[in-house]
Amino acid sequence: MYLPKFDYHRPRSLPEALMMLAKLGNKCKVVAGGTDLMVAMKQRRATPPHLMDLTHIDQLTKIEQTKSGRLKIGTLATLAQVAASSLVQSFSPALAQAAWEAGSPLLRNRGTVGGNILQETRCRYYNQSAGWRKGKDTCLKMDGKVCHINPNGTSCLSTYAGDLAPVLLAEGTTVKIATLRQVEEVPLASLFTGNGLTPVQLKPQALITAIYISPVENGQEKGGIYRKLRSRPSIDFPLVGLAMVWESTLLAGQKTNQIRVAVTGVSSQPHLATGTGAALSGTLPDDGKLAQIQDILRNEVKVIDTGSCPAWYRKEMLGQLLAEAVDKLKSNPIGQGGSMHE
Amino acid sequence: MSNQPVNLTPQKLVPLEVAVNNRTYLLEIKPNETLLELLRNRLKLTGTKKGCDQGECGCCTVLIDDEPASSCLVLALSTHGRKITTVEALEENGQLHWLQEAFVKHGAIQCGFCTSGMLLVAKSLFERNNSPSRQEIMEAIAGNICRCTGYEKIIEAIWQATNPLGNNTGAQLPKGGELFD
Repeated sequence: MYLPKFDYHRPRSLPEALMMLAKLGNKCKVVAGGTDLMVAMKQRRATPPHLMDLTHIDQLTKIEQTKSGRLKIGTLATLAQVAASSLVQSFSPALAQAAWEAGSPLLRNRGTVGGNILQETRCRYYNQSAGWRKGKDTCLKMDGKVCHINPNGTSCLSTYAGDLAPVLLAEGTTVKIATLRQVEEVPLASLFTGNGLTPVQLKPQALITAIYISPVENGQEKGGIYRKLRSRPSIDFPLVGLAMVWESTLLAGQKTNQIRVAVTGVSSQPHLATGTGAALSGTLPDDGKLAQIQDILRNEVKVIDTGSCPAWYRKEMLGQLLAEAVDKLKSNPIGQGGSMHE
Repeated sequence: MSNQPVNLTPQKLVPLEVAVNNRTYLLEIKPNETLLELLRNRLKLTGTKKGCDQGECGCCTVLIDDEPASSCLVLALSTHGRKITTVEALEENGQLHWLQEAFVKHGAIQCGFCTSGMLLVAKSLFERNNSPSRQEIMEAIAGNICRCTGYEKIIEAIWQATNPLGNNTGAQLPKGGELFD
């Protein structure tokens, strides 16, 4: 498979990149690691007239602690760098773990944080070669009129399968977005539309430049875990993935947790399961209460039948992943996250 | 036939300076050339194989600034100013690299299609960690698919080569399922 033709741009700095984007607008796609976009272009799911290569902007690769104590991860930090960073492991063990579990080692060496967040939604009819897709009518996602998942449907059901997003949602991450005119910091959740056609709300002139995670308050200890169900552990996207992040406090000798749960691979956006998180918070649930909370999660999250295995199974497994995450929290001394090489 | 207009205008060539196997090349190439196509078609370094061509199989693994990556997903132009290492750089003066020797000795090569990728991944693993455990070897080659050997002999070859003094008879291979959970 050959790549389609395009004009190539290689900015050396962020202002130069933003200037080019302001000029080229939606005629231009941005590439960093290329692990998502190059496949899309080879399969002719994306044929941008211009391609802007960010890999030579070194200032966006840093992982550091800001003066105000927050963790700042540059948008071009690779997943391998995030997984290996001791700073990330201390701020958010679940994030290091999710980065470690994304793709294969070869993909993690190229794939970036920004690219992983902004990856395209997937569907078993859409993520195929141009020749394969020709055998069927063009689907909604390709500006066609039909959805092959739901022939009567009028909305695209492609599924978001990023591994970092659920952890970042549970961590309350904010994202710095730059255009030539302004720089703003918004909650990560506000980027996701839930619409499979345009899963992410980001102006064509804008770039994500960094993500921020806040430190825990004094007296609290923090941990987290990411659990992922997939066909081949060595490389695949999540069929479903679940992130659980907790902050533990000792109150009158009793450990209480504040817990947030988020899932991916379920529908067109990663989903913060607020009801589940609230039900889990406080003291740890016993088995009876855990079963109720698993039901809360299964009722709270909409699972779309887009993947390679049925929605009912993935929904069932969400509860299982939650139980495993709770086990991990129970068995760990507070403040310890999931081990990467577990 | 689709009604989409076909773009026949020739593409503008873009200059590229890249060091492949310690030799600097100055080229002018089309933007839509991948690193894999550059290596195989233009530089005739055909030790790097084209497998799935979409980042799943690892046959096209090369080292970019000493980190293994799938060259089919890398734009050749994005390697401007970078250092590329392919399997051709392993052999020196007609002498096989010690990792290559180990692969031959332990029968870790059958059809050979995955071998160049496996060797480069092993080389970069060794540079980070000079006595990797079997677990670490398995994690390192997780992105490289082999359809012949069942991986055992590849793991054995890398392990024996990188742990020459260690007690390498008593250790048990972890079962497949223990690798990731």
